[in-house]
Amino acid sequence: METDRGTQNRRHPWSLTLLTGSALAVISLTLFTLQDSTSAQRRKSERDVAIEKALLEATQKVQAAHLKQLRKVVTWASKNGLAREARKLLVTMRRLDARYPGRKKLKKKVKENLSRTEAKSDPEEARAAFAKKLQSAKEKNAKRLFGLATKCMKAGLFTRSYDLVNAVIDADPDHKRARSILSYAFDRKRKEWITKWEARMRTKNFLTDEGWIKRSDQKKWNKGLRPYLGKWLTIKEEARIRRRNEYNPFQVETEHFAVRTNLGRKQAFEFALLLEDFYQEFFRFFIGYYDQKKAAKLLFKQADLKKKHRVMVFPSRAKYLTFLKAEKGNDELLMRSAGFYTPADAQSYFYWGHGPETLDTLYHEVTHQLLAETKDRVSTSRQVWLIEGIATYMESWEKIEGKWHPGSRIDSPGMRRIRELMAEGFDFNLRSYIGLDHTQFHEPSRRSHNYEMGGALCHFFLHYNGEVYREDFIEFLKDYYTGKTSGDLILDYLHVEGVEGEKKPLETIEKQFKNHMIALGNGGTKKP
Amino acid sequence: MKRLFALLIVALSCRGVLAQQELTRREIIAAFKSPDSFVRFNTWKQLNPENRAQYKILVRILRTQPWYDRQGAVEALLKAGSSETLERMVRDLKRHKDLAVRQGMSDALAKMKEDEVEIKGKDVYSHLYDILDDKNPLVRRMVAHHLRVHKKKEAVEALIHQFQRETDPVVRSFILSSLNSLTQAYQGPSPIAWSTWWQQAKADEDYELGEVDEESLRKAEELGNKLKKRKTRSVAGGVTLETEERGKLNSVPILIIPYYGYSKKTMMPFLSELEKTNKLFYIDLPPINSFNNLKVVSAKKIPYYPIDRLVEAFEDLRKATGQDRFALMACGMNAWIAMRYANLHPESVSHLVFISPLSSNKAYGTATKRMESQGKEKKDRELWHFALTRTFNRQTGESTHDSYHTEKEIPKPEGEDGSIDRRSWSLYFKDERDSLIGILYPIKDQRMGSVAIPDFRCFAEPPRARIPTIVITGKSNLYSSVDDCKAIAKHFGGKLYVYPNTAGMPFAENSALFNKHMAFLLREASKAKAKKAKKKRKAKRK
Repeated sequence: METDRGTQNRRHPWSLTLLTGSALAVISLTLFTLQDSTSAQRRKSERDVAIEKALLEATQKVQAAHLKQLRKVVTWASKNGLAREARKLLVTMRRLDARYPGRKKLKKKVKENLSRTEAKSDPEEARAAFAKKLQSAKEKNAKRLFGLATKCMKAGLFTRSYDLVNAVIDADPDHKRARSILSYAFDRKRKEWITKWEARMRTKNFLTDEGWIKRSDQKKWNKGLRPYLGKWLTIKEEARIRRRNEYNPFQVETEHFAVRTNLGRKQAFEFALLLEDFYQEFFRFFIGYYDQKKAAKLLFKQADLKKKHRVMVFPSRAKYLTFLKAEKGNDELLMRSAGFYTPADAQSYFYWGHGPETLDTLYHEVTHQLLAETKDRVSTSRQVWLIEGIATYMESWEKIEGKWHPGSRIDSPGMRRIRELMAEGFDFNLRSYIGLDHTQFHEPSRRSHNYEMGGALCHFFLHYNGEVYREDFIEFLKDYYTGKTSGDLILDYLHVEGVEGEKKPLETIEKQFKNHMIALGNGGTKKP
Repeated sequence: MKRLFALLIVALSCRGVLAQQELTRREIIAAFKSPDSFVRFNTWKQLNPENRAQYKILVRILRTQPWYDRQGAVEALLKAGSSETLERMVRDLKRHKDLAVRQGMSDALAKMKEDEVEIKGKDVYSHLYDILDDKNPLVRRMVAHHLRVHKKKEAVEALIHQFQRETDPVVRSFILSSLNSLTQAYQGPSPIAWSTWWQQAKADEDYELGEVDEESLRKAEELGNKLKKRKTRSVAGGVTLETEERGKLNSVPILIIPYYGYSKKTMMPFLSELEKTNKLFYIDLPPINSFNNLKVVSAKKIPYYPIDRLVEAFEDLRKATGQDRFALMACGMNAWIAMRYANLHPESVSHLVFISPLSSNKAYGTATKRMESQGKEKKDRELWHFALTRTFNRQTGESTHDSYHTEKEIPKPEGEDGSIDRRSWSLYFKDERDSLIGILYPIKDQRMGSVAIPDFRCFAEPPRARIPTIVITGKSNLYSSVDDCKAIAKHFGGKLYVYPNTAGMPFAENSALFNKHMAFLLREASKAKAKKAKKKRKAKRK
């Protein structure tokens, strides 16, 4: 498993906070010179290596420059008797790079300074000076990072550029250009950064736990009245009308979503906020799915949404089934489902199940929706494993301490079952699996297994061995959704690692997949 | 770089904030003029029923527009909340002179499920029970259908009451379907059985509507009250056929083959009268991927649909079910399977019923041209584009419709696939307003996969035996022509019936006449058989 980690480091060697602008020339040059290469796979692979090498060099330079600045600040702090601040800064420096040159020497020097220096009579003044120096160092670092972000953007590396701009904000929260690029605006009254959409909303609306309400309606709203078809009704009366059937529920709109539910307006708003949070990370991860212009717009929240993504949450399974009976003709497949997305209605539907599986379904269906609604054409493939697999895979995403970790939830019930199957020596036949058509895939006795297998397979393609197949796979996903390829042609897109000469890629992939799943179970592979 | 960022920022600032606003007069007029049903639907559902003027527009849409537009109006109507509007809706439900308005109001009020507000002494939902005896069967069948969703004992009571006096077979079929859906009791076509069962169920304090009793379900299947599923593996055909059977046991069985790509569910509600006298085998044709080693065409390797192999599979089905002979009822192009079957196994076929059949690929092409020219002439873009989807390039495999958009560089309008699909379905009906089209729409599909139509020429295969045959078609049918149907009837020595106010679904739009002709065919044939037997007996005696 050492190899896995090694490869991962080789392909993604850079850290968000440690990059510098000096790699520009190398990156741009690499991109232009590689345009004429003959083999697509070869081109991609050479480009990756060159870019990553350049980024690694840039990283090291930024890191060195920033640490140099911090070294000065920590020395100053120790000389001025700010023991707590100096130690804290040393820890920060160690986090940035555990083995930066002269670390031990600096530590010793700081210790000596602190033991020699007596506590200042006015520590507040020293602290203020320290904060100023630290801020200055951060701002300089932010400037360097922003320079590199700009260059990545120019080179078409949108995801990296996006991450760098976020890193700029980490280093300097008030960096105006970075904030502007990420679509933030400064609210002068409250002295805080908010999204531009929110800033626009704040001009004529106010925020409640039920969403945005017009300022002009504030008085009536506070009196307990609610707007309904041009009239004002009591909360109770509105709730009666909104809850009597599934066709006219509460509706809340946020920047990208319109959520409808009979549960209540507050609940609709909560769902919408969950989805907004998911939305940003989704596009960051799948950015290769779009062409460059659209990718940049989506990632930097500049995409002009013609229509919001519509989501309907039924209050219970019974209500969901009633709706299916009335509107979808008792469709057998839907009656067994926990949710669905239909392009015809441009809406995803699911029900509140009082448990974490509700969120799994939510992300599953919204994945179908986002992939379908951000493309102009539709898939014509008979094989559906990819559509269902990628949505099932999204259930392996989890948010820990406010940060999304794609593919990290390897103990979800579905993933666990596939891991166990693989560990037991399950005879997996990739060719026959990817050839399953819609009917075969949804055969009641195999349906759950097929979904779980699809999710596991997508996890493999996106995270195996330091994500070696990720870009190829996302390219395949893109072509699949635009009707350029079918689900059984995945191998045409993969530059299979470890296959040379006569070796068959299919067998290699099968073997790698099994190893990946078993290794996830054993903890042998680093969690994504 | 700065420019790119600046552009992105400008793009953002240009975005407007979406706000729910009432429709303007101009928007409503534009929607009425729009050839795009998707645009119209989305406009209608934004209308405000609490606004008197917009309520009138909604009623007008119900009265004059096709079913999908009417569904948009229904979505708008069911937002109504005030008692004045609800009262207006109840009045229109009961008294409006146009049946389409009464149908639409019943749809809206059923979906609304308003059972707290009272109008004229009873809750709004209960008013629906009153129009179960509407003078028009087209309204009655819709109300019966809509009552199946909201689980209410009063609805069961009202449906059973109406079932006892209902004379229209299709309405009876819809009532029965709703009763089965609400109760899961499957008491069959006898009103007395339902009434007796309900008296007992009602008296039982523990009874809950819809509770399922496995034993009763099994019994219902045995008695033919519930569809019985069957899978038949055909070695000769190399495919497994899935059928559902229902109807009178030990009588002439009829194999029902719906239109290509459509489900048997589109026919079931209309054949209940036949189920009283015959056993019906409903079949969904196997999708193309159920077959192996098929002949293909174009770069996309589109397979031809294998008629001969299906014929062998049907023959195996007949043997497996222990039937001497089948009567075959086949629709549209699927009549080719029945024609070939009758030619290869004439001894296995008792009767032939062709619904709007086609005689050859040429007839299919003529129908396509007819649709295209009519679509262009009437500025019916959805019809014209549907016609384009019916053909494809034999080299590339790309549909003519896709090529059209690519070559002309015209982007597909939002929701076009859905619009075309709806238009293709509406064409089977003469009255495109009928709510029936909308309620069958979600269940209509039988996914077959992309196939190429194999070569077939009906007149090149003279019948090997004289089999009693009828051909039924609607005068307004665009999928086939009356002349072609006439020639087919002549070829098989059968009769042609052209129904004046129907299109491709004569059994749905004029079920009374259809049942009459079916009974006539089956009776005449059995009379002829009896006559023949009598003659034989006489000859023997001599």
